[in-house]
Amino acid sequence: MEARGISKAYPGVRALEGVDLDVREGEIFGLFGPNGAGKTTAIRVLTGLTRPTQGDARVCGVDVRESPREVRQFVGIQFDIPILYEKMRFADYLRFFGKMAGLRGAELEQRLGEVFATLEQPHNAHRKIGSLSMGERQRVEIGRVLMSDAQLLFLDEPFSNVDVDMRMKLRARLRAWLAAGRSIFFTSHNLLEAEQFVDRFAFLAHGRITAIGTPRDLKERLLAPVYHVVVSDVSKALAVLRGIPSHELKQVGGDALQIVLMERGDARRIARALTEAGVDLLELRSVGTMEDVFQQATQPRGPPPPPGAGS
Amino acid sequence: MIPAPRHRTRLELIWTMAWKDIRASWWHFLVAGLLAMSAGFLFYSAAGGYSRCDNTSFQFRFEYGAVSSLYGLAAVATSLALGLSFAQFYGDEVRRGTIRALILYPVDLNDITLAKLIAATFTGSITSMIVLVVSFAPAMALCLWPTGGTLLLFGAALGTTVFILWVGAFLAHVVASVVGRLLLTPSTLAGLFLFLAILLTQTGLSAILFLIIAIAGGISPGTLQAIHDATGTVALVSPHHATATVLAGVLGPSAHFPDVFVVLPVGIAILAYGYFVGRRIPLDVFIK
Repeated sequence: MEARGISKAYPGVRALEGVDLDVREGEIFGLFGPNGAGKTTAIRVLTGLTRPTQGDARVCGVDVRESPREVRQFVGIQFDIPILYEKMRFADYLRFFGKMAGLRGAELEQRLGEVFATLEQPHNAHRKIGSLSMGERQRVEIGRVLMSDAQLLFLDEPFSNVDVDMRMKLRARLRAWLAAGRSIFFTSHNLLEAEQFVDRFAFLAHGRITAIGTPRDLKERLLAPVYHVVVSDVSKALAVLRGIPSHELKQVGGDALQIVLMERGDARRIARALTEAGVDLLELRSVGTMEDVFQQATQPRGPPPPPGAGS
Repeated sequence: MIPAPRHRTRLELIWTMAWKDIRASWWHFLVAGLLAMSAGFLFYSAAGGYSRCDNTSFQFRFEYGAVSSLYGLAAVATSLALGLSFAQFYGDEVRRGTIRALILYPVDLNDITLAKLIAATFTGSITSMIVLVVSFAPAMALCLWPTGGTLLLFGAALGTTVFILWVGAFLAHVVASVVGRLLLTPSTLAGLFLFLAILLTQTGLSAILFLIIAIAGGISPGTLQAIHDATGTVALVSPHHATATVLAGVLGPSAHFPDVFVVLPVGIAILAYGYFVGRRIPLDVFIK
């Protein structure tokens, strides 16, 4: 999928402004931003549900402006709030949308069995959707998407209301699903979970892309280089690390230090200096999370972040 | 190279959507059957002693009044059955938001409207015909009503109602293309058309005007003629009036056709233009 200069204006509102995006084969691409940033509008444009005011986008080689209906032959879409046919039985619901996705006969029934097994819901197959819990309804919606042969999935908060065990299984299932050169376009407000699942992140604020890249790229670009260091001898490590240029160096526990480096490239000097001094390095990790990146990427730019802002 | 998706014809998708609604409406047929049998039994018990099948001297004639009253009944029954089915299949999906799931598949506005129209036409036609034919079966069996003419009249009323329903639904596409949003859903506009098509028949209009003037206390032979003349002109916009007038000519003793059968070409033009613009209307009209 590639989009160039996509803009979308509604009366009195510019929902998207010159958005450029690419989703590569086999990757999970995440689009994140605050409420009202334009994520849902972006999905609508990229799936042909609404026409862009400006710009072009192609999904699986199909122009979304010229052939919006054809685009949806290649994509599976799941929006954040599932509105389901409450009176339909779970199995009938999946069977119906399997047919909408083009499955027929034995293939349809085989896929139905696979999806029920993945969702661990065969016991609910003949229950009416209206009688299911919120978490089970979310699985119904995920099941609907899994019933298709889509090349690109648009998933908007797919794991909300789903328990941890099932989230892990679904993440593994979706990761395996990518193997055939497929891709996932993912949005969520849970960045900590997304960090375990998404390959590349893009951040959207006020309809514009403000940052895009892998978690490592984005942390290096947007966060202060703060590191958490766990060692065998704290007092000796403090003495050694004072030799490395830093904004701040402090002890944060019985065997841990936090250091705010002048440059991220100095991180490798920490390990080398401690080893040479005979201090056992038990853990060395960057402190910033993708939530910190989110804040940096989506909030109005002021002065550079103070040391330790990412911790 | 991305593998091509499985070939899916539009007709398959449309039928899949239509069948979802049809299979969930079996209870329509059950209720219609029970109501119709009750009505039929009542009719039989009232008219059972007056069989005219053996009375060769009796010659039933479809005079304009007989056509008008029987056609009026059929028009109301078919309009109710088709209009309520369409409102349930389309209007409810829009109101509840479940239509958001349908638009995520390779369909356009025409496909969705066509699927809902097919489902409503199928369900509404069977339901209304059960009600009308089963209710009148004793009367036809007893030769109180001629079978062929009565069935022709029911069929004509049903066909006209289907035409009105489809025109109303596709007019909603035209409105949406002009204002840029689904100002009136196809089920709302189709329902309004079904109502107006009955209200604007000469019988319907005359009844209303007669009532108003009677309440005002100004009825006179001249007034009745004026009402008849005025309503005859206005009623030319009602497809039901046009069909009933043609039927009176076909079934009755004297041929009588409306002067200008305007509704058919106008309706066909709306259907064609509504379909044409329906391909271009983005489906987010359902979720704005």
